[in-house]
Amino acid sequence: MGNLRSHSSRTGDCRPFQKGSAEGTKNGATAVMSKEWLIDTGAEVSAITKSNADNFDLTPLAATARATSTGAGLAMHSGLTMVFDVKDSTGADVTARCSLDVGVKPDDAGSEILGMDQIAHVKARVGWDPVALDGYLRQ
Amino acid sequence: MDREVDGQRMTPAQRDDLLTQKALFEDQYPNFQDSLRGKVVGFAQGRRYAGNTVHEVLDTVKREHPGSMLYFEPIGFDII
Repeated sequence: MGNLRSHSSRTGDCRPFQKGSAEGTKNGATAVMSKEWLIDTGAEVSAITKSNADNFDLTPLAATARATSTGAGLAMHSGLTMVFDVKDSTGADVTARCSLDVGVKPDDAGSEILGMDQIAHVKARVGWDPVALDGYLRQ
Repeated sequence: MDREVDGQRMTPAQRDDLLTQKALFEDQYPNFQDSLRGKVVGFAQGRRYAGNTVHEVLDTVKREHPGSMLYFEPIGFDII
């Protein structure tokens, strides 16, 4: 059994997800939110929903009006750490933390996305079987 | 961008800076839409930046213009 699975509450969704968390601060206090990350090999940058972003004090850096083919925009911020598990060489899950700048979606549509930027940053690999609904993030 | 201001993640001044850089991007887009296809192109402080990834461009702008806003677009591809 790997550390990626289908979505915990959406049957029939054959994409890979992993339960983890987002860490940051809010009004000077530590803030931690449990999240179910979509492991998205089609995403160059990681992105969170607007409501998730509201839980943290983030620093704005950049924005684009065209992040997707549908013309959805994205604002890039610093100040968030994504937390997820990566299997080590022995097969044990090790907690990874990545604080690369992250995108904030303009609304709450879609998933919280763990993109290839953060996967690459922690030097992990992705494997996923969409039939067995099992897969891994591993070193 | 207005939603970012409404959500208090961005100040009106930062939004206005972004809109200024966006206008520059759109004005100069015909000059680089072919030559920089496949790159991430952005404007900050009135200057054009290009790189292979959003992070590459962002890191350059943060180093050269700390605190400035970057408006960017991927040319000919999507990032999410």
